[in-house]
Amino acid sequence: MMRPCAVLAAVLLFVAHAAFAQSGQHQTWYTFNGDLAAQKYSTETQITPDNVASLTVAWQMHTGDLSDGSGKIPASVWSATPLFVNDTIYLGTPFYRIFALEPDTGKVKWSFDSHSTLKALTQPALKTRGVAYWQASQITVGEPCQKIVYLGTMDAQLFAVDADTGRACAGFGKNGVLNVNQWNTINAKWPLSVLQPPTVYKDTLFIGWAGKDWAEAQAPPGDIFAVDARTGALKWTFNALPANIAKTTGTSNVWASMSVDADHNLLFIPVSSPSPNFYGGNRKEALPLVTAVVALNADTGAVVWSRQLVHHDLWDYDTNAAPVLVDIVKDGQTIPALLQSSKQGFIYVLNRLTGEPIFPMDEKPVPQSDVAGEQASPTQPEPMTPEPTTSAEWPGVSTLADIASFGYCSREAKALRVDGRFTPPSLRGSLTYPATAGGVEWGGGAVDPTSGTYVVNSSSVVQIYQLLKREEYDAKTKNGTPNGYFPMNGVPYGYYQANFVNWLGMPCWNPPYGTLSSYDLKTGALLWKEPFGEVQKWGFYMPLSWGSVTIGAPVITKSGLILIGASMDSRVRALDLKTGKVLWTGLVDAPAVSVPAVYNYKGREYVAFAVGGNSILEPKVSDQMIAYALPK
Amino acid sequence: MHADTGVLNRVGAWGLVVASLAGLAVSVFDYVTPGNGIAGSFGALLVVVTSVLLVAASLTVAFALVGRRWVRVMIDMLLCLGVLGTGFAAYMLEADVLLALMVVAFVGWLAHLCAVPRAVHRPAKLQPGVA
Repeated sequence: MMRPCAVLAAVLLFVAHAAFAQSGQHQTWYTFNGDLAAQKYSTETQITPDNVASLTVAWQMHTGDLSDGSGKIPASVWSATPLFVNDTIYLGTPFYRIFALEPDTGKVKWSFDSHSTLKALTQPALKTRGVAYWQASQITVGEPCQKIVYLGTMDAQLFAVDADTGRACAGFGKNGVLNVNQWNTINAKWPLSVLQPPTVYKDTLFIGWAGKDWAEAQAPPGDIFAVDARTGALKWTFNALPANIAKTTGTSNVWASMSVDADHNLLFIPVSSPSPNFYGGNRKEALPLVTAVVALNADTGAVVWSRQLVHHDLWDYDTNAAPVLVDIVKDGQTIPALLQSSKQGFIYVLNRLTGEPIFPMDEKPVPQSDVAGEQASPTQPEPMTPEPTTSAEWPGVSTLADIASFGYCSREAKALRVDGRFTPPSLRGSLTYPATAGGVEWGGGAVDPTSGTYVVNSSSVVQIYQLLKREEYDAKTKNGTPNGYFPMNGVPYGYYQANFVNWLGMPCWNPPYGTLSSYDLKTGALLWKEPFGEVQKWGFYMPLSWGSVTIGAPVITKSGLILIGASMDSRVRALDLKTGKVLWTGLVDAPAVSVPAVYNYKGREYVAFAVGGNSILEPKVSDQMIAYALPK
Repeated sequence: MHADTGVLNRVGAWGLVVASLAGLAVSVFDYVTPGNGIAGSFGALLVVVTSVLLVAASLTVAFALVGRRWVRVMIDMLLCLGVLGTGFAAYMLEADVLLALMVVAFVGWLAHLCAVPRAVHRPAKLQPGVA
């Protein structure tokens, strides 16, 4: 017979369980990638392939923070992931404000203005990829700043505000502001712009930063700063560059998002390329941690393992997306894996505890540089499984573009150096494919951990990379710097880059310009690959088979949907995970170059997009935040 | 039969007018309405201009304002090109309503063209001395 207190305990447990079940215990979307594993996977099942066609606008709001660059304020590039946590939607804007919204109406709960400078100090536009969220493991009722939202700025400040009230957290940094630039002590030619929200794990923030690419050979070295989430006190620093070379080169920073394996206390970081980006005569030393994926001990910053993805990077092939963490069942064994997408179109599948490839990866001979002072790596690592998102050879001359330009495209292709993957920049100009725009951009892919399906969007962009002897560069830029010219001060060459297009702006290469691919991670096999999105020029939509260059990322839902914006045509889409067929399309104000958020609030599932546009895709900007749901 | 052909001709011409006018209204609406994906674009402006020209040309046909045959033929041909061109542009703009109206306009044009009243045939005069 049960004692009365045991019965009471059982009843309380039942009531608690019932309340828990009634509350739904739905997944939060609490990081840039949804969670710390960067899976971009939602367990929600209300919206399905069968009913997604009836998806409708649940609410939308405009932050007011946008600029097309025509006035005094630089153009805005808004690529924020809306966070859903603490029963609130949190947004960071490119004017460096934070909005807290009601999840079911979009009504503003509070907003916070950092009053940050609106100058493009490092990037060509005002950028942000949103906010980060932390909350104490033990909440003390009545105490402020037990839950904090963080927003970084172009001028290297990190703001911390109370997630419930929007008031600055005085205990963080100095009156709620951490000056990240205090650690900018080597080659401090520009501020360490905190445009990617920090990664939050336990009580630590991991802060990366963005700089000014292609301008300087000697640039700030790419430290990561681990700071206390409550106070901003520095815990540890990681630098991908050895101290003895830090002054002669620079960057190799982490400007993209990171991921965390909480079970093994590992922080995974995508490290970018060293400066200058297209000539390496000043950095011939072995730099194994740059253009690499690196696993760090989250408590100490010590390197656990690293794998370089591009040796002696001459293409600005920054490792640019958070590694996706997922367990793969292969040959009957469960392997803790990491998927690293890349600008070069390779998908590196590694054991996340050791860094060893799960599928074969070879070192292959690659074209060599003919530029004096340069010494390209003789080989590069090339994983052929899964199949790269981009082909080994460039797509070839577009007949239509060639005819429209009276043969310009084919003449130019013959005049340029074209030697396939990893053709180094040259004095006569090299046709580079994939170019620095990708391949896969900073959004990376999404994974369904239950079926082991990986989905990733990829662009197909061909560019001309040309080195110019210093005197030639100076002559071309003495009356101002035309578009496409970058100084790379500190080395014997300046740099010119252009998209390979004809006089009408038509790409000189064959479509598709963007694809969406799905892979079976058990075997690495390509399940399907479809042109994705539409190109729009002067309002006219080009054929579906052309696809679109994309920036942004997909989300997968447990119900079998892919939800994605990313394309040039200002549309957001839902696709069938099994087939890649587009099931629903929504029109938004600009390209939704962001990671969508999927959340459930009060029993209703929402899909939310920050619609900001990106001048890389087209000069169309917006401040629209839009959420879709099934009709009530 | 001649009377039926004339009616069909007029119906076709006026169908062309109505479809062109509606097309103009839709194209202007598309150009000025934010959030439709084509507002303010060069393509949307282009179909506004071609729709204006279609309206003008179709009115000249409907009111039979042009007497010279070669001018009528030229306007008919230009109307055909205008309707097909605007329709193709509407297809590329994914402006479905405008595309549908251009289909209607094309049917009107066909009706107008195929039902042109034949010239009245006068009885042949018999030549003297011919049996």
